[in-house]
Amino acid sequence: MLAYIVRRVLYAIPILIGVNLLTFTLFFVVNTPDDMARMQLGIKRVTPEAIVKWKAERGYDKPLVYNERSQGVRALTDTIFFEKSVRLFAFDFGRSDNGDDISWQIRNRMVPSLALALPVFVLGLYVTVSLALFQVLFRGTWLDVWGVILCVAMMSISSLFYIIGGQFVVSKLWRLVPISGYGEGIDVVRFLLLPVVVGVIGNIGANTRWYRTIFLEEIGRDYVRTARAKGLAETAVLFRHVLRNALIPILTGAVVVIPLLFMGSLIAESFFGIPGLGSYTIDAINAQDFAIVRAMVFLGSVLYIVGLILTDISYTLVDPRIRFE
Amino acid sequence: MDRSLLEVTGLSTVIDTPAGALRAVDELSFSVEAGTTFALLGESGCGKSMTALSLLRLLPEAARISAGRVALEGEDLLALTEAEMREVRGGRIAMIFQEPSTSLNPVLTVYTQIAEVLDRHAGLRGRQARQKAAELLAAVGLGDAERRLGEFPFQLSGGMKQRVMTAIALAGEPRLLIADEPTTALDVTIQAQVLDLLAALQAGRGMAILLITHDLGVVARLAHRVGVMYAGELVETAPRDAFYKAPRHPYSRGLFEALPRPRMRGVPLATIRGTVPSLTAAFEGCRFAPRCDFALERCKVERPGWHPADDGQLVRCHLYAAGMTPARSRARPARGEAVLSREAHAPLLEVDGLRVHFPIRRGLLKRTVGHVRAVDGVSLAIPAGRTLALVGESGCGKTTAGKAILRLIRPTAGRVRFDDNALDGLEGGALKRARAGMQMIFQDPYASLNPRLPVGEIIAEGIEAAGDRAARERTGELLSAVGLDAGMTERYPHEFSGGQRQRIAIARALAVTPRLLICDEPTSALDVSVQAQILNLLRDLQERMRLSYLFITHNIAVVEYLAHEVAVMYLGRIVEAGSADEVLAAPAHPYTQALLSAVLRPDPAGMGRAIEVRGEIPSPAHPPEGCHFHPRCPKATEACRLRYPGETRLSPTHVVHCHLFGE
Repeated sequence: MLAYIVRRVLYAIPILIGVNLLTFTLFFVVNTPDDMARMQLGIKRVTPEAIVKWKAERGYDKPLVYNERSQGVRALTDTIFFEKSVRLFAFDFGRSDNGDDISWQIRNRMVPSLALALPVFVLGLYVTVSLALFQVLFRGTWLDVWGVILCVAMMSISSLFYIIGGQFVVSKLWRLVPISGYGEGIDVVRFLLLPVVVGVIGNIGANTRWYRTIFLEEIGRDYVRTARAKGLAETAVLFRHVLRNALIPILTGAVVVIPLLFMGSLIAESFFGIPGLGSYTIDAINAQDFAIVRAMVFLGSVLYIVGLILTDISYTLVDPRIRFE
Repeated sequence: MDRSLLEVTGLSTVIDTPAGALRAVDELSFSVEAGTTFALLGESGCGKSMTALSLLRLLPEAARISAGRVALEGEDLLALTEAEMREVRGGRIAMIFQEPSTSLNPVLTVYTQIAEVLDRHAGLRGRQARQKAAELLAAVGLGDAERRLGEFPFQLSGGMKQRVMTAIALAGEPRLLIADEPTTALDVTIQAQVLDLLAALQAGRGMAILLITHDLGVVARLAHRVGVMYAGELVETAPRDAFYKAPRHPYSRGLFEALPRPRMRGVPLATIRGTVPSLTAAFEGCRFAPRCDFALERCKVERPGWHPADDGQLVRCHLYAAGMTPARSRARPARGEAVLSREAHAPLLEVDGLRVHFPIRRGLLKRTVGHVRAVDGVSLAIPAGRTLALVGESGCGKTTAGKAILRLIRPTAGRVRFDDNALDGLEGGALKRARAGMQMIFQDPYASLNPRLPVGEIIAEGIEAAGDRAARERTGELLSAVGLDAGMTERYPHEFSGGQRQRIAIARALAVTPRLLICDEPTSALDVSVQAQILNLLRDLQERMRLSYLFITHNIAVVEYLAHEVAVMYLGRIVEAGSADEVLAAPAHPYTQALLSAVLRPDPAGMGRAIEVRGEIPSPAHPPEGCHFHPRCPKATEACRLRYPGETRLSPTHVVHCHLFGE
């Protein structure tokens, strides 16, 4: 088991190097520091001096991978590649193009991101699994049929509609919670209530339908017939037998996104004005601040790999067939 | 007169299908007495499993009981509410299912699955439940009960799982046990163990058993009374011995005549022509009339009633109506094997020391820590036009050996010569050409044909792969060679029945005019009457085209009927080989003896006690020291523990690996 985890972590290293090389190529070779400077300073009438100055201020004036003017190891370390890309491995994200410390920003913005994403994730899982079980308990009846129709309708509606609709009805018409913003201490709850509810509702359609399919697949299996032949009530069959087996694909499917919760939600955070990592990324894209975007791409890859490793570990925890191998 | 334990009267079960209502069970009436076994015998689709599920009211959603009465100890089960019915399920009636590996919940421990029933029907919990569960495991012959209780189903072998299923069924102390094909998924030696267990439990508890099966051998071993089902209705009921002495209904007789038996060697098996009628249609006369050799005019228009025959049999057949003299079965000379030329042939296929080892990788660096010796030194030779049967239980490596001969799996070591060409070391095109004369037929014709290709393309694919471009015309010809309509090339596999699909698979194999067919359990997914057709076809093709067969199977009856030579495999090695007469009539190796004695014969009188083989087949990753069979062998000596026995020649053709025969 330990050997397995160690091996999975070792596999992650070449993947991260690959991600790093790819982002380096995209951000510094395809799109050169000169291009960045021009974009930041305004496309028109930029003097070469201004570009050189902008690059020097941000450390983009060095050679890409090899510095002929430096000696020894410095020839390799005194380069853009080392300063900007290799340092990412130590989670040293450096400074953004407008000068703030990206690592400090990430540490501070992670909390609001989690405050929104975690309740959406946990509540969403609970609500959708319950709804799916409910539908399966009444499978073949009108409740089930209308449930499926409602799910399809809900998944066909864009999440933007839920956000704007929610803001309009709950905040503007009913004036129950603020439209957007973020507060301090317990006040946060007032601001998060609507985004969390909207986030959960936005996922109901697709997930309920998916979980219902998993449950129905399990319910057709032979061991379910055995359970019924024991004289168990339908609820006992569902909760003890079907749920236990269906939770294996559901949990492992959910575990992969847990680390990504730290990254927050791009759209919801921007619309609700929550100062998390999602809105940070969107702002950076809009401002064409490539230092931040590069940091977020790398962080996202790391978290996704962590998610995949956690998924494999969670398999061994919930499925005895794998645990005892 | 006391009442029967279970009385079923006029039970009808209907399945709603797009093609209309399918009458899966049609006005079925029978009764089961306490302490006895009633066997419902029939081929797939005859409605026997639907009957079982109807009794428990556990039908699939599309099915419903449309009429009838099911009385258990006088109480009508069909009138009970769902909650009352749950008291019956697992309580007064328990059920064992066919496939133990899927019928147990994979993520719950053995204890949880037994305790559920104890809690539900006996009100036992905690320590008491644990103790009772251990007692139940002991009762079904599972040793080390305390440890087993904490295990999960995947940690148990097939036979152990079926014992756990049985323990679960016994937990509610049922008056009636429904066993639906309880041993079909199990190996021969395990089958006998489980059937004997059921018989012993019945004797001890006075429980009635409703046995659902297609296997005349299982019925012979366990049943007291037999009911034969055909197309949703019972056609004959009889006490067991009378039934086996003289089956009355033409369909029952057809079932017996379709069985491959040693004395039928060289003679085509009787088959039942045509196919089972669709149950969505309404019947006018006898359902079996279109396939019956004795059908009268009357059979086509008038539904036969029940007529008594001697020995307490009841037959639903006009032939037994008062004043009729039942026609005798078609006389069939039981002659011996048609004498095939016995002169020494140069072998067409020669395999020498074939090994297939799969590495077991563990740890951080995935180092190879051992090998699964699936095939561990198999040598055999097949002359042209002969059949060699490779016999063994599941996991003995017989299928892997077949695939390795064809190089579908890369052998670890060993030489394969086919038609005087060495196959080892060949790659790519050279390998393709060298093995063009070998083809394989697989076990499951439902899974082995591509469902998206029309039959013509499935067959032509092989011809084209062999480089023959103008081959498509031959597909029709091939279809007629295997007894199908040449005009069926545009149809898809799902439009055919199981037997027809296996014919298509054979046509596909024949397309490249092979000289050797490797048949991997080609009939084990088929019904007896269909199996007879396929065996006849294979025998016929062998005579016409001088084909050689490597017949991989666990079915001894088929071996007795078809094989010229037999090789018995155990844990990756051949333990005994010789001509069919030698190995089957005078088996030398204790394993062969045990295997043959465990075969269920369709004859209650001719069934001796199976030689008991202890325990289960060990893992091929850790074969026992010395002779692989010694831990289970009743005749093991000290020498057997120490080294693997060498080859002893009992006759020019008969070899055995056993220390009991001199060195």
